[in-house]
Amino acid sequence: MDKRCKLLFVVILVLATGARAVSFGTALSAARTTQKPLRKTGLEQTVPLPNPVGFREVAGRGLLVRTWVNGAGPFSFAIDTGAGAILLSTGVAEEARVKIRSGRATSIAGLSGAAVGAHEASVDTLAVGESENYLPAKGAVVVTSGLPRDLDGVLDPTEAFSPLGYVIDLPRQELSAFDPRDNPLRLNQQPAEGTVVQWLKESHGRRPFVMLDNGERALLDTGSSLGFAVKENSRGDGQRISGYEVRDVGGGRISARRGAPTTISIGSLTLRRIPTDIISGAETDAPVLLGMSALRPFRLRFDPVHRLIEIAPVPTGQRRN
Amino acid sequence: MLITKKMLLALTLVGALLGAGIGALVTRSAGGDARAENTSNQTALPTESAARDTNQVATDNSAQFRTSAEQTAYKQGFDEGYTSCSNAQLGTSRTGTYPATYRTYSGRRYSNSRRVYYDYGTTRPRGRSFWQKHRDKLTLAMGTGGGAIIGGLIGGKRGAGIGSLVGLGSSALYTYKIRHRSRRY
Repeated sequence: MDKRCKLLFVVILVLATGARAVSFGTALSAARTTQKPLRKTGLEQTVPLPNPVGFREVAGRGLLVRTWVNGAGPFSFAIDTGAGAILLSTGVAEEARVKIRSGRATSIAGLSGAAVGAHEASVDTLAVGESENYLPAKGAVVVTSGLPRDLDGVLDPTEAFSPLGYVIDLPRQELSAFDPRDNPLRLNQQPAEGTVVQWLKESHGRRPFVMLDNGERALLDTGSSLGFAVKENSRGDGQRISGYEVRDVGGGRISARRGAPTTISIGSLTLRRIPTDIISGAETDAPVLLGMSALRPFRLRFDPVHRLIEIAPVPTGQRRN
Repeated sequence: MLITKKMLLALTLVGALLGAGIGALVTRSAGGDARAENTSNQTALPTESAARDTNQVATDNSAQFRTSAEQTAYKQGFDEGYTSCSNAQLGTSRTGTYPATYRTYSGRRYSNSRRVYYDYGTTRPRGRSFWQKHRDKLTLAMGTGGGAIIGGLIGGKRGAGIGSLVGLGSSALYTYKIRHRSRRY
């Protein structure tokens, strides 16, 4: 009787282990089949390249580009790599009949941490330069009342051109797209006077951060008029030259003052005597910025697939101004 | 009795092995001494070979080896070593001989030594007009002047004084409190 019990116990144990192993294996294979489509980058489908467009830099407003939303426009959008989303004013959303997603109230905040109410919405088409020059981005945008009255929206090119790469040629004032499959950036192909560096990952979002030589992460932010902007407590006492009051997207204000120029390095590129701003009033986890005063001489090329960024100065003879 | 025979056989074998090992060690140490002498001769060679032909040196030294194969190998090694030393002195190198070492070194030098610079100080500030440089002062001056003119038209000299003060105050309020010099979106 004891032997039979033992035998029965062993049989049950073997069966239970086998069944568990089979079910586990089935789960793994199911997981593989369900995860496989998620690995597609979206580039497997052919995405038409939008034509290059010109933009203009307006003091106090940023890099402005003519934009059409759902065929309506043109509107004046600011090209802002540091925004993290495509923002639309409420007026544009009404005129372009943008569909507000019900129950999707959210808030957006800028450097100061002050938040303003916003709603998630979806657009059918987004075009720049010309009404037919469509961008790949379709879908999520954020509608907010926090933008200045003379600005219709904010265009984050990372979101707007995704999954394509894009080039912001600041001296020539041109915004263009490229296919990272055909023309990828490579770390071993450095431009003559510039550098190719890693596009650092962000915990929430895809904003372009790069690593500085001192180990700090800096955000390449074309939406900021500042230069190399550091928080008051993180940098020494720079010589005060002039004061600024900076308004952020959330309606909050931070103060900034131009300090003594500093020298920083991004990859193999050393930036000497970079215009440096010391900001105060920013929230605790506000990043170090490389704004327009620092980026203006450069052509920036962003490869979101290989997560690389090329920063190269444009020769003086090829500049628009 | 059988066990004893087996034990004896085993002991004999162990003894033979130990004897062979000791003999081999003694022979090897003697050869090592001889090779050490050869090495000392080779290190002394460069001073002597200054006056002699290199082929003669190689032939002389190779005579220390017994077999013809060893002598040939020594000559070849001597020739290669001499050639590489000569190339190094002349500044030429046989990169094909050490491709892996070359590539590794080349990569390190590339990544470490490549550095490009951009100096903001060498570029002129772009597009800063007279108005942009002196905007605050000009705004205050215009506000004061405008207030003085309007006040003067309304109330004469006294009105001009009051108008200039009002204009100065209002323009200062606008310049330093209301107008945002720069904005971030």
